[in-house]
Amino acid sequence: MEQKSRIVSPVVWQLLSFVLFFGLWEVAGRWPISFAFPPFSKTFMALIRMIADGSLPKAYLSTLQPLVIGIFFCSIAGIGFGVGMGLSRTIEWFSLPVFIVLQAAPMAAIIPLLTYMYGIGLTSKVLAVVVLAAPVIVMNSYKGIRNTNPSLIQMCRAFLGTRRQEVIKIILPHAAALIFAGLRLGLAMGFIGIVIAELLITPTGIGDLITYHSSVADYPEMFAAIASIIMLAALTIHALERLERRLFPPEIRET
Amino acid sequence: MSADTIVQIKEVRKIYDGGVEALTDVSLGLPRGRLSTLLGPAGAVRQRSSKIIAGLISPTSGEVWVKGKKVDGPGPERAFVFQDFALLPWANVLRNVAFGLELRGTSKEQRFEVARKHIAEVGLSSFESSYPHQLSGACAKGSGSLAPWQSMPILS
Repeated sequence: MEQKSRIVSPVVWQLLSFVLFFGLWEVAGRWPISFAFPPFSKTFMALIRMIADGSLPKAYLSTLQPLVIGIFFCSIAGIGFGVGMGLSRTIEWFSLPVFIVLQAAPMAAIIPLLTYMYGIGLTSKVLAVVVLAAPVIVMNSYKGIRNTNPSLIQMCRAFLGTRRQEVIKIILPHAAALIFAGLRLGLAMGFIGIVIAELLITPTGIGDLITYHSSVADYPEMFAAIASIIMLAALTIHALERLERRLFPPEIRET
Repeated sequence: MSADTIVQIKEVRKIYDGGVEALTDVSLGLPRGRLSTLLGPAGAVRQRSSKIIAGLISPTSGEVWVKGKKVDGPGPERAFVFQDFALLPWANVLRNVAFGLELRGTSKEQRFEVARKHIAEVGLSSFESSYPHQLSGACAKGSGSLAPWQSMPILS
């Protein structure tokens, strides 16, 4: 058994899983049930066409803009807030309930409110990304700080370390892995946020491609747009996950 | 306080937030120049009592005097070895052992030199660049107890 799995590398199995999935998609698409569900081959051709005529790259240029701004803002303010909540009881007292509610609330319901307050421009789309991504980034940073091994803090105090040294040399390195994991989860939420925003607020970028092609019944193009954003999100999150494992190998994290 | 008593515990009482009374009016003296051991079954707050002497936990009432001075926090004359070794999981043995000096702002070469000397004394030189998770229990204990040794004089 062991020898066999050594010969067939995991990459082969992963490729096989893709082949199986796309194969089933092809068969399902050719089944004459719904005209609105194109087979894989047609979708793939549509994807190539959309890349070639520049409509897909152009759409991503406008989709990624609010996503990048939103995530950038969240990673600075969100981590700052989370760390602050972890370090100070006062900040924790008045902001923890808000973030717990935000984390549980169905955020898509807030988006019409954002449109009402901030219009249909970039601001509401950035905010849509922020309201979805911020809670998980803040909560992870907060938990990372709070879960610091008390023994390590006492060790620092026993060596007459200052509070500043305690934070910089013990608490922050200790929380780094969880904070990074929060960023990764936040980015995943950000992708959800931006697609919801583009579908609910005003169709721009990838949301526009999806709505437009669906309204003129170009189903392969519509599916290609959907598949492309799923692919992009999956690849980005996967890359971040690998980076996370390199930066913070599980064995040097506190158990 | 007699001259040959180095640690004097006077009617120390410790009550936790939940109302659990861990120590009730404990008074004792530890002699100078001798190795004293606190014995007791699990949960007998031996570790907690030593933390009170170390100044890491403050008693609810009562006083601890060390070398004729009242304890109101950790001090350079008292070293503490943690039960779980308190090693930084992201730092190797060398940095862990030198951590006390790092906190004091000693230069890298200087503190690593001191740490290397002490690591060699306990025969752990080949583990200098290992991380705590790579060490056996005994090695971890070695590095954990070295850390306080080299930055502070032991109670004498």
